[in-house]
Amino acid sequence: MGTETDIVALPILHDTPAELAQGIDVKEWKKGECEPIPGKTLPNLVEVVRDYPNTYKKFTSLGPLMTKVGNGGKGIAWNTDDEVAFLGELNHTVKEEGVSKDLPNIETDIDAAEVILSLAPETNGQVAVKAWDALGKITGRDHTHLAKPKEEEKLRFRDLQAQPRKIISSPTWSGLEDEHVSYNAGYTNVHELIPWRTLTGRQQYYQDHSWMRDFGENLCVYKPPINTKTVAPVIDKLGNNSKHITLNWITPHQKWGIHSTYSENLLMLTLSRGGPIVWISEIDEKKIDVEDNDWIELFNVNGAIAARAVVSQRVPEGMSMMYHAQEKIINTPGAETTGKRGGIHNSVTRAVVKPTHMIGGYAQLAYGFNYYGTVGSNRDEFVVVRKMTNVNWLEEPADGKSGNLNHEEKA
Amino acid sequence: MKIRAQIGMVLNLDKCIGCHTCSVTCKNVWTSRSGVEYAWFNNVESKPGVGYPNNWENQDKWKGGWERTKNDELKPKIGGKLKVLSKLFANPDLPEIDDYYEPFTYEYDRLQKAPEVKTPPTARAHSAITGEKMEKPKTGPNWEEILGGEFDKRSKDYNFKEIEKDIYGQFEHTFMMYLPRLCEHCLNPTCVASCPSGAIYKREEDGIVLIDQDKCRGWRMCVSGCPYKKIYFNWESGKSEKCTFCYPRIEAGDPTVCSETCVGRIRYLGVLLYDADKIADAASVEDEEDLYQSQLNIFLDPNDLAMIKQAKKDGVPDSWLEAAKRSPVYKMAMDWKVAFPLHPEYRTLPMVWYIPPLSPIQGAAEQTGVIPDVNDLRIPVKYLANMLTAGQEQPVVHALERMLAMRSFMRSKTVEGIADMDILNNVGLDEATLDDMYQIMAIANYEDRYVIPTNHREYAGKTPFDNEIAFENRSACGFSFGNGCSGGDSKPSLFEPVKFANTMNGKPVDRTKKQTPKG
Repeated sequence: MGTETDIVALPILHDTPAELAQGIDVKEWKKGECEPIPGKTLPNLVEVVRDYPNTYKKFTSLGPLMTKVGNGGKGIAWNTDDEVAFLGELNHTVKEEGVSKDLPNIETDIDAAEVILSLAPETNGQVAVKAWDALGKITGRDHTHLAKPKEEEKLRFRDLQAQPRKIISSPTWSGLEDEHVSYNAGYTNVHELIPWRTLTGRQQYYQDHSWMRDFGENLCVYKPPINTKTVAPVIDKLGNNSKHITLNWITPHQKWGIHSTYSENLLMLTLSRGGPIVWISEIDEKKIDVEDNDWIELFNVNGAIAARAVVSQRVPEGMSMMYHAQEKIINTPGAETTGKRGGIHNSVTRAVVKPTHMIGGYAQLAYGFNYYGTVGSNRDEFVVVRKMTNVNWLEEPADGKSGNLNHEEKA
Repeated sequence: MKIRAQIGMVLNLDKCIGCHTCSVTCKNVWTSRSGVEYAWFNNVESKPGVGYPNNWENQDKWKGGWERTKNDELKPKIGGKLKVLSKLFANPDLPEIDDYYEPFTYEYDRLQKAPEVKTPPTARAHSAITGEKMEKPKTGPNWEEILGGEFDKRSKDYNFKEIEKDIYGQFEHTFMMYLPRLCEHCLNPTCVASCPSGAIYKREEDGIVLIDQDKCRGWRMCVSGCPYKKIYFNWESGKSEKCTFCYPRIEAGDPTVCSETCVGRIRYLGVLLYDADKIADAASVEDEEDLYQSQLNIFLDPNDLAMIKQAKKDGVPDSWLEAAKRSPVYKMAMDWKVAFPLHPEYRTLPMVWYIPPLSPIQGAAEQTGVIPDVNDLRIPVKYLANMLTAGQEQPVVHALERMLAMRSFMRSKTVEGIADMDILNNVGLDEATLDDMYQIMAIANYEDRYVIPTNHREYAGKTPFDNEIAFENRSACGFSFGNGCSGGDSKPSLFEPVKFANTMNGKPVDRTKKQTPKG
């Protein structure tokens, strides 16, 4: 491949003028309700040049756009000439002929860390001053006093290697890192009179977008669980003679971390129940003749879980709970309904796109990477729970011939 | 009068978040060896619950601690010297491995080395003792984590004594607290009295209770005698082991590992001076409810000049007397009366103390008065009293009120800018004392939590275990098992050699074969 030009659809972004593209009403150009205008009634369509032969060179140097368009975030931008020049001296520049010649090097992981630390306002005082100055152009107020006392401060990779450091206040965040207040979201909006980045510039609890009103979500509201149609089709087909019960399903984070890290080493498993567990109430255990530590199966249309029950008074009737990401690699037998190894907490859920998450071009309801967009909402689910009658470890080899491997045999 | 000093510990349960970091760091340092896989010198229990080992607080069953005889003397509940000897070969009061839990590990190896199978492999559990596969662990050192298990089982908890407990099994009346536990390093230890070999001793200079691994003969009477079940039998070495209070660290002026690593900063270490001549009388008062006060009575005021003079005569070093004046443990136990011994009714005069936890106030909307009524706290006062004061509620109420008052006072001071003296008058505190309480209990800076004098060269030569401390031991082997510096090799023992080590990767270590060093 040589140099290719792609057309890429770029969402209508928050913190750009286009964030108000659909401020009045939503119209569908496909249905002829309006003209198709990129960046207004449909996503921006941008040309992206992919210079494939130079991918490595581009990946290992700080690109020329830094000096051409500068750096920024959340709707503000500033010049980075000084930092790029500094990085050229710190990391040295590329000597090799080609597209990256004379640009600062990003050859090693430390080079990459230094680039981030030099360009970010949080770790480079002079950038922080520039960033607050850029914000001042929008608010009409001088905010640079928030960073001026630390203008000469610069955190290098070796500084952070030695010990944690306190960062420098930056307009990318809404709280301050200083001596008289700890980081506290929304602090600068209140004390520096910086408008919130919403339609009104204030904190908004009322959502007047027509879709929000259509869904009855113009104010925060309790909504009962929806029927995801995952229980009825299986409850009769896959049921056996044992008693079962349908419970609401929640999957909170565990005490020590969010995924399997930490919780799956021997010590933490020993300090728990030593394998996957699901919490149910004392009232529900009686309905299905289960006792604490019994093997139970949980299933619906989406999949099945094999785990042990923890019965507790702290669980209310009607609820079942499996802490996030207890992977099936630890002491998990087969699920009877699927004939496969029991799944994880997400085996019985499915990502469902929520229509109101697709609102765009409406100030705070405009797309921002990692901030706002169509995230999955897959926690509103019910599962069928019953006692397992047969605990099968499913250790047969695929060819059905060779014997089981246990820890005494070499694979 | 014979003045002695001990490093005591206080745990502020009001700040314990149940993270188990203390247990994990302790385990990693002290008991990550075969023979003691099941032993946790430090463990954290979710209460109400029966804890680890199973139902340890029930001394009707385990016969730990002391009992008062008809002629007002104390004898271990398991019996006096003769009775102990008669039970040497068949001790009915000894917990079995299933009372703790059968330690397990996993075939982690299989996750990488399984042959092609029909469905993804899983690492099954197997016993770290027998090597046999286990379908599932049946109990563990923290089985009741966050109230796991039916109330019916957990409410066998001894601390429900004299409480109409059924209501607390309902969802709406659920309450919970964490209880981190370790050896109490008692002033009147039953383990020492129970040992037929005289292997257990309480160090004169700092009160730490240790087992001499050279003298221990593995009779396990200490396991029965200790009412906290904090002595563990190493089934590989055939000797008993226990929490050492991290004495090599304490000697150097450093906090124990569990204290150092405590995320919630709930642990405190400091010197307590006491009159050793009063121990016997204090431990044998008739009414169990008086034991808390009788223990307080043997502690000495570190600022009393006559006491200081006597202490110097009794050989307590100056640095220890200075440290005693700044001791957070003395302040919390004696000055402020917010810390209590765990189960004083065992009559062992424990030296690891606890500040009871506050809990959410029921019906806060109807609250009247400057501080809430402690009877509205979610955790019943009687439950805490059964744990900390042999059932006597008044001292616990007093402590909880002071803690509530500290909260209200500091809130009014920092939020409203008003120092509301009414709050302090209510609980008999002045502002200077409250500031000190706030600094030590709430802010809890490292230097305020740990006031530990280093050990002294002058002890060498004066105590039966002087060579443990002295300079001559530099570059010697560290913690050992009575087998010199020979590392992990074990002498022949009564038990079969271990075949399945408790290794993290699940690989078997066949100790019956000679290991050839890898080149």
